[in-house]
Amino acid sequence: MKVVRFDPAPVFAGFGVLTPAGVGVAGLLARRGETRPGPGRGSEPRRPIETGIAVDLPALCGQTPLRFRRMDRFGVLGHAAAHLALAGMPASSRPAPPAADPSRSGAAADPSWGVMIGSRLACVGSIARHARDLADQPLADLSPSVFVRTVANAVNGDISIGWGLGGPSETFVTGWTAGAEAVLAAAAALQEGRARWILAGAVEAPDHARGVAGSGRPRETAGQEAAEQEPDSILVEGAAIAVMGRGSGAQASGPLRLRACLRGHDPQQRFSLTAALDAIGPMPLGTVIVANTIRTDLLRRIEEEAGGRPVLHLPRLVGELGAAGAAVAAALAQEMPEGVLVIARDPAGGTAVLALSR
Amino acid sequence: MRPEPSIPDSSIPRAPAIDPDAARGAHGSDTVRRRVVVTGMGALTAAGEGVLPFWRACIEGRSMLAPIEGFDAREFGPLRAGEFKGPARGRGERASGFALLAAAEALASAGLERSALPPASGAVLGTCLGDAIAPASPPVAGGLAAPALSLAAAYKLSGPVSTVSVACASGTAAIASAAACIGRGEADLMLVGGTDALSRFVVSGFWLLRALSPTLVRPFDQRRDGLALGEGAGLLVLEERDRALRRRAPILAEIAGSGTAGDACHMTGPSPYGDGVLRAMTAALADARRAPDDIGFISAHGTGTRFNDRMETVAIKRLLGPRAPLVPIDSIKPIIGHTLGAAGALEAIACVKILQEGIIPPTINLTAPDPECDLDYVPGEARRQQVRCALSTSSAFAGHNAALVLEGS
Repeated sequence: MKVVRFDPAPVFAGFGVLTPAGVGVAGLLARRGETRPGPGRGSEPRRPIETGIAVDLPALCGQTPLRFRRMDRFGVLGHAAAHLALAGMPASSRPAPPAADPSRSGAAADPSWGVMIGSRLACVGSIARHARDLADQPLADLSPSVFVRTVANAVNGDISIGWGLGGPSETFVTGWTAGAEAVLAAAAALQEGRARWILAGAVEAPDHARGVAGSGRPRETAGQEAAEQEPDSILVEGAAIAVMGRGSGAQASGPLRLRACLRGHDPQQRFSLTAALDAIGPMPLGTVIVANTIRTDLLRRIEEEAGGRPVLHLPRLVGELGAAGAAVAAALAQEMPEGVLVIARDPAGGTAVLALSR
Repeated sequence: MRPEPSIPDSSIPRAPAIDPDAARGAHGSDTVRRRVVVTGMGALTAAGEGVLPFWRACIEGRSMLAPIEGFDAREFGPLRAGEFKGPARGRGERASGFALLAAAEALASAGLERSALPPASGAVLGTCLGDAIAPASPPVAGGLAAPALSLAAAYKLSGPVSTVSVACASGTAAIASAAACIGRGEADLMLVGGTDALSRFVVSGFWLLRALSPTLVRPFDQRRDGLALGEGAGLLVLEERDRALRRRAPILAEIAGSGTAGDACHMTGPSPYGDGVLRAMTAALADARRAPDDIGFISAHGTGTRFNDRMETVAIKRLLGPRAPLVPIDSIKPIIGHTLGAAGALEAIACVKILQEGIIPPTINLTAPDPECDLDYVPGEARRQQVRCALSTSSAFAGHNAALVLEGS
């Protein structure tokens, strides 16, 4: 894996985080030291799995449910996370509201703001719904609005339309590393001067993906199916979107920076923390956050190579957040005084490392 | 779909000022970036397996659209589509199989064997649905990423392996993403492109949106009434230029710049003034350190829908100004259909062939020009014309736009 360094390093100016542990990262941090979620195995006690986000999202965004009537859960979660991320910014730095474009032609969209989103499941819930409707109903009775939600970039569209963001836009569906990839792409776009601010992160909505093969989601027989899986690999809802920025305005509003990234395809699990740190170079590393479920032997190797530094395994706090894991981990890094290394891994072999520090 | 607004010329917003000197500053950044070249190409389309049959169909203006045979499509009325009807070789599901076949051709044309790939080789594929839709089984969660993972497994790639899914702009966005990856030093070689397969699922969606033509696909024609779908894959081998020169690789073209932008106005309808695609084209030119006057050819998204073709025309006029009528523009979608995630990659391959051979494929079925689409769309027959710098654009649902600048070697 080749390292990409960012100089000047883009900053994180705000985060919008939604997980089963609540809004923001306080609920996650409070769970450190608690028992792991999942069905019990042997004598190890486990907390019940919470797979959904029990928050009234329209109310959280100050909207009525009608506002979201055409969105699926993937879209609502993305919109809500973007709302939270922007709410944390000074009003003077936020994008102009879409009311500034009464013709809805996009002419007033702000090209200095971009959107980069990652997801493993993305739109497959709406794909499943349209496929089911197609099988069960006469063609003429189907709604085109469901088909419109079957594109993975629908969340990018929701966000860019909602806030009038006309800058660079990308959607990655690479797997559990897609969130880290979105953050990397945003950092690169900021460094190249393609935008001044980018909303970057990831959204996973397994609840709307019921009936989708391989979604990692306990279905109707939750207890039995969950017991047959590695507990931490049960995908839970999550969304984390950061406001990433460059320039003097950004420097004033957010202390955490993305220093470097590593990416590669590693199905043989040859990943080495030592090699990753060597590639990144000197950094004030405090904590290593493993954002996704990984094999126990690889986790042990990372803990050994961490040399006594704390290794936080995010799925043990909340379950598997999929692509949202890396973005949630970046939000946790915001709360930590020293540098943080985030490791995202997909079962298919995708690996991404984010080096973050102040 | 929204009602069609009338756009008098006087109401079109003023074109943004594009300062060539500012554009040459590449977004104002002083980042040093490695140059990225195309060294191999592979295609699989309704014209058959290979770049050659695809290119021949393009320059001969021979439509490959035909009634759908892969599934019972009678419920959709009279439709034609660009189905791949070659032997069903390749592993895995169809989109992955298409990508594997096109990748094999691309690597062979680049003079590369599997064992000769550099360690930092990766892949970026663009797709709308990948292999998420499998006949007679529920949708597959990891299906969107399946084609890229198939390439990674087949060629033991250890560099970045990524899937970009921005609907119909996926192929163009994937090339942009892979070129950026090589440019910033993450990889030395990338297999990149797009793939998508035709299915009842896809046809039903576009039928519900009333976007399919029951007659002929006629981009920029006054009688245009919709698009025809297609399927296939387009794959390119991108390499860091110095590495390609060292190994004496065939350098077919250079990916000089790229840009993406959101419309920020509607989920299915483009901005009537083409603001989003204009921003993407402007960003691609700035990235390439080129001015609008440098563009010698534009590969349009050119779907044949009323909204898209007029919007693109407006955007191109705003980009090129008085020079707009002088720059040839084409759409190859009436020839192979709209191949969704593969479209941008196949159009990039066509651009490379245009740069190499100096022949511009025609926009077929354009016999009654729309007064609002009054540029040079190369109607009827292919045209011999040398082109040094080409611009390729794609637009998509959710207001996504992507553009590439390609230059001759």
